[in-house]
Amino acid sequence: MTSFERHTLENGLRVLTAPMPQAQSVTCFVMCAAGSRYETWETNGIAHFAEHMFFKGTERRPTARDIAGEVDAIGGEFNAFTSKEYTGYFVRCAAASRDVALDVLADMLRHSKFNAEEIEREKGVIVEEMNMYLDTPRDLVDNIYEQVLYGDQPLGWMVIGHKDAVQNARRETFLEYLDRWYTPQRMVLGVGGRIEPGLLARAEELFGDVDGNGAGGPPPVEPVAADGPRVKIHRKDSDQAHLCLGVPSYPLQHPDRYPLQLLAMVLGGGMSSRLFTEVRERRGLAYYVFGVNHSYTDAGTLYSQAGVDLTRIDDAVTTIGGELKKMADERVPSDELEKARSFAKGRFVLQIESPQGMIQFGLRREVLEGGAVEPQEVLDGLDAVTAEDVQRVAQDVIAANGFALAVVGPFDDADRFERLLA
Amino acid sequence: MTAFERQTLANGVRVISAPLPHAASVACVIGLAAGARYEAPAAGGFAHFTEHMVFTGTARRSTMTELAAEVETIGGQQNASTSKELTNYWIKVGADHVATGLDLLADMIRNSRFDAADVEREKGVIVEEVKRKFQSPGDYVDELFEALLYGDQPIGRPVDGTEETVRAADRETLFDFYERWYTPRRTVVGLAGKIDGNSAALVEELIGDFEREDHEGPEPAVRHASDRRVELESKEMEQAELCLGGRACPLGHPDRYATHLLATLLGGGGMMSSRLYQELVAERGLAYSVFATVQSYVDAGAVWAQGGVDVDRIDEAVTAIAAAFRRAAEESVSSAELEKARNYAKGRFAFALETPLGLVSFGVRREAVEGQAADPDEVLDGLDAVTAADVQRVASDLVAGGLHLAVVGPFDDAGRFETLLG
Repeated sequence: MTSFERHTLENGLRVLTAPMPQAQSVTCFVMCAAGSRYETWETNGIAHFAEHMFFKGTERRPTARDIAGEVDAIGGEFNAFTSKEYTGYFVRCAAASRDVALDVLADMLRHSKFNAEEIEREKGVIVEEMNMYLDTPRDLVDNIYEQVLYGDQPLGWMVIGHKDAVQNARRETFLEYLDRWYTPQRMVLGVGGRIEPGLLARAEELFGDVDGNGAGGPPPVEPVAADGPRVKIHRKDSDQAHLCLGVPSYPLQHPDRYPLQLLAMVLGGGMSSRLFTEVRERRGLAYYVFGVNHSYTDAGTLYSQAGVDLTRIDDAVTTIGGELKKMADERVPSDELEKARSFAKGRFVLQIESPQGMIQFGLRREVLEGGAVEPQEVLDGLDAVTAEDVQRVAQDVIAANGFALAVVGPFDDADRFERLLA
Repeated sequence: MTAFERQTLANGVRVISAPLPHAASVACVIGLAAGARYEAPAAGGFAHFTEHMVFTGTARRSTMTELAAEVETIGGQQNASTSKELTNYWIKVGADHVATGLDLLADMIRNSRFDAADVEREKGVIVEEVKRKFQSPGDYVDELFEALLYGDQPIGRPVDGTEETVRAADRETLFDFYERWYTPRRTVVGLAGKIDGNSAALVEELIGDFEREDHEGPEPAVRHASDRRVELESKEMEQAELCLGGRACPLGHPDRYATHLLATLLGGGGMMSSRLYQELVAERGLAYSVFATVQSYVDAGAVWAQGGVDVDRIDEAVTAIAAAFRRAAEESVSSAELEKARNYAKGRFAFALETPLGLVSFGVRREAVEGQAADPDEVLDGLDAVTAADVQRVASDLVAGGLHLAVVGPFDDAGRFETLLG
């Protein structure tokens, strides 16, 4: 039995299902292959702003209260997120209430009013959210890091956007963005959990007449030229500094995705990782530290993030850089690799145990990579990784690339950090 | 069909299990009928401190890192929580690793080391946590409210203690708390997920020989005799935080479900179509956020609304919330609104129990705190049985007991608020 089934409506919109008959609930998801990367500088932030506006009212459900009330009344749980390459909206509810949830989702995403007054009112809320975000170094630092990596192109901008673009947004700005990108080829309806009969007919009724061709997409990411380490400092007076230090890695569909994942796991996944042990436990240099890989369709990065003591930031940078290099220089011992492998597999199994986790896993692959894969493929992929693979990938991404560093803290001098990384 | 199988070992440890044949994982929980309420005044925060210490190592797993690494090696996830009447430790693991997961939990609650150096290190961590809490009034305004309502008795004190009591803790006093309250008769072991017939033998083997002298629990709560209705903490802030509400029934009371629905329709769990959210946030823009909650103990309970409000319009916000409580006491709720709140509450409850961890945590909580793991259906039936008259009666009892208000904000005249409460 497979975990996922896929159907395509006549207009090209895909319906992905993950039937889990033992569940009581169903999660109804609409995921769209569009996000802040699909914006221009003049509209940067509109994808996220649209997420707010979708909750404000439609023709049939004129107020925010009508929308919320209908989902509340079926005991449903609403959620949404916007990222750089994809956007998701979902409702989790009792299996029997599925069609109400789908109707609300379709209505919001297709027939929102984008009332001019509501747009103006919401600008204040977005700007407040932006201020809060800019005030939280721990959230901000990876945005600064992506600016270092991707520079002044859409992938380097922030999802939340900038104030000018938000202030200039008008009804037309939203409609143009949605017409262009919320098209059948880019949208996938995902339903996971207990699936009562009649889903496809309902999907056809609600989404079968979505039109537009949604061809094209943002330009592929251009490598940012650099000789030597790249450093960016976001000055902020604080008693703790936050940093991201890493290297470019691979895009999502790279054949070495699983070795890269385990490389990141050995380096910085959890409390038994090298970074946690060396940076926090042994040297006490950081309040928190982790390492991850984060990939997009055509770019990726392996990096560490840490919150560090101001007086010891040089040590922290040097130690993290050293641990990265060591991954390339020395082969990972087999017990350490096995531990990372079972950690990764265990977390994955727990993640896909819920209807929401399962359908979200399938949708992300479907939307970004063109096809959901069976969970077993991921487990097999992780099982096949050898220590040689991990070292080969480490040599390719770490030894061959210069470091990128972003710091949020009370510093002015980028040279100081460049020297440490040279 | 009952959700839980229940068994008591010879030493008094209770075991509840819920086999879920479709699950891939097992959630193991150990709950202790002990928490902040069990502390002497000078030992404020010791239950929470003890929880931290339990993660720092055991006789067989000597450091925090070793313990964490073992969890990661089996791909597990682990955490714990401390409240006033319950301390809960849990681990989620793949079905193959249940023996390791349970061994780890049992080892932690039986053989924790309480190393003196670890005590000092964790003290630093907890003091930072306490300080950080006081930087965000939204995180402690509820503690002020409970202190106002319950006065200087254990349920009126904050779970994490004060900086002074935490600093005063040492190895002996903490270990004394651990030995005194982490006893077999206070211990409930819960297992849910893909478990087989061997799990009973496993539990017996790991915890059947756990012996420790039992002690009587804390004194029952007394009704705090004070005329004070407002607690004000003056603080320069852009936005004021407040809690407004009153006394409600304790845990085992027949009105518990009516109380739950009262809080739900006022502002339960982020219900956006709730009365308070709609009036204060959506329509009048008085508050940035508002919700209502029930907090019940074995012998006391309260319902309150909590939110962050505009400092210039706080009078309006206080008046509106007080009026919402009075309206619930004076007018019967319409059947449509009651049904919406009921569906919402049932939906949230059912979703929370859909995962193995959610299900078993519910059972363990009921078993440890109330003496019996109720069947989830009992809760759903209880919610189904609530009538509009029940909700009105509960609301009018609450209002008759006096509305109380806790505020943190740039004000210095508590009398002004007394007047507004009416």
